[in-house]
Amino acid sequence: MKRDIRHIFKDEEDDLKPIPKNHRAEFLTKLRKPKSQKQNPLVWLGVAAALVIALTIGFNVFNSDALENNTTPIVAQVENIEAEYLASIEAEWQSFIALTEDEKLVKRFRKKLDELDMDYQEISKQFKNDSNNILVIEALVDNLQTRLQILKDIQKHIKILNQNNEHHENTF
Amino acid sequence: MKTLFKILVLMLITSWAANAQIHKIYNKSFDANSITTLDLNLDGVYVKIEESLDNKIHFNYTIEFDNYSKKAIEEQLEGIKTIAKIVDSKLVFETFSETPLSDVVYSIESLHGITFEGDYMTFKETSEIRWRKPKKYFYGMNDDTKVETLKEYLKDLRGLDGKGETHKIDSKNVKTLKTNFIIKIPADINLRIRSFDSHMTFKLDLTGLVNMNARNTNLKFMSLTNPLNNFDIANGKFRSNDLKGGAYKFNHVSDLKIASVDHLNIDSEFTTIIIGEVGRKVKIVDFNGKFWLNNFSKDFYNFQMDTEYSEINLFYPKDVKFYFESYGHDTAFYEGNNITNITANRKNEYSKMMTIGEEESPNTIKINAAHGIIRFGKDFIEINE
Repeated sequence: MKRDIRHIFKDEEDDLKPIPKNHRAEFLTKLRKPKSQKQNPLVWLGVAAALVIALTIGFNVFNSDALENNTTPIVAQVENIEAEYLASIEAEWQSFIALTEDEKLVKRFRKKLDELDMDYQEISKQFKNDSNNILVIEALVDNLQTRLQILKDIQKHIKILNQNNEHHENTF
Repeated sequence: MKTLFKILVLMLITSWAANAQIHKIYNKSFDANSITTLDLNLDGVYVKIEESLDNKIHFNYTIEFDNYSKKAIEEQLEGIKTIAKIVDSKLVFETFSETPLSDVVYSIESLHGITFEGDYMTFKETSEIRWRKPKKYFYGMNDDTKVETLKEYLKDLRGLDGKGETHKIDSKNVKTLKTNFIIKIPADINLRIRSFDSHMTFKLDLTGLVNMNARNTNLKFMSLTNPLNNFDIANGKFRSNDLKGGAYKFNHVSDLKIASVDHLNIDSEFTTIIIGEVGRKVKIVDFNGKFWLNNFSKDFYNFQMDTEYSEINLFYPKDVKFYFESYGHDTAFYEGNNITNITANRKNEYSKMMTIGEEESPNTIKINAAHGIIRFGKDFIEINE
């Protein structure tokens, strides 16, 4: 049964749930979607999350035809996914800074996002040298996913706190 | 007929031997009597650390290639560098792999690419209720070492033939690279570890001093009990059974699960930390983390957290009298359907927000929280958002 992918992240600590049998297949499907097809970053979030949990085994897919070109289908697809993720991250960032007045918090998140971006540049170098390595692609997607996720999480956190408008001091 | 059978068997053995090749990367032993510290620098490595029972340090590092051409093997091997040297009483071991290694790496060769057949990804319905988990749950989980077999791996994958037709992938077209790297060490040796893009699984209880800096590394430990242990972990994963003593810094670490903590200082950010049992004198400083504290030991004495923008899910200490005290501001407390909100103040001043139990209790939980969410539960915690 398909379900809202956003629920996956609510249940991260319970990793005893069975690994979906087709997690890798789903991942490959996403990679093979035509460039023009709209990718939903949230679907990737779920796919990457499942892979992070499940994969102790890495693999490379070699496409003999594609290797001869500079821009292989996988490179193009990853570039497409990257662009969509970055657009979503930027949108979440704007939403986040509009939500909070805590400058220290904004500064701390900016620093974290910059660190993650530096990591991403490092992984991108690996990807340029080894663009068919699924482990490297996973690392790229995981990095983008993390940035989006921390921005979503902190906004959810702030929204819960903003609902507080009463001051209680209580002893159970 | 008998001769024909012998020839066939011989051909089979020869054929297998030609395909599967084991290459030694590093194989050496060192007498640990004169070595106090093992200094490991690892990059792109998959390694298991086991206990040495003969007071020697053993390195046994091989890689098995199956279906690889001679050239492809050479290329892989050229990308792996290993150096060991003794400096005073320290053994320094460095290894680097251009391609990050895992336990098994499968490579599928297909002229027109691959696809899959089968259902889309499915997930179990997630519950909004989290039940308290006993300490033994974490021990079992941390020992988990499931490896996907080639058959499982290929089950839903299909090759493409260029006309859009799919066909079953022949295992002859799958190249397999297996890493078998074991380091055996005495349990009391001091360790200095720097690791990057690696996997390390410790299969022994470490009593010696461990200083570790790890980035993008998946770590699994049994117990770590030296009071001076010092860990700085960024990204990657971390699992352990018992942690007793030392300071641990976690920055955006995922899958962080610890069966028990005792006499420990944790400094964390952007990390979800799940602990089976909180023991004596544990202190946590956190920014924007999530915590699941499943239980406390009978004599946990003093547990303290200083947090900002953190989410703390705390199961009440089971069968232990305790006193809970919380200072801070802008924090929401949840217990079942009861919600207590302490709003933000302009000066961000800390004030007493909540107490539970009697102050005279020898076991105290003190949580200083700014912009926090704290949930309490006896047997379960319900997330109502």
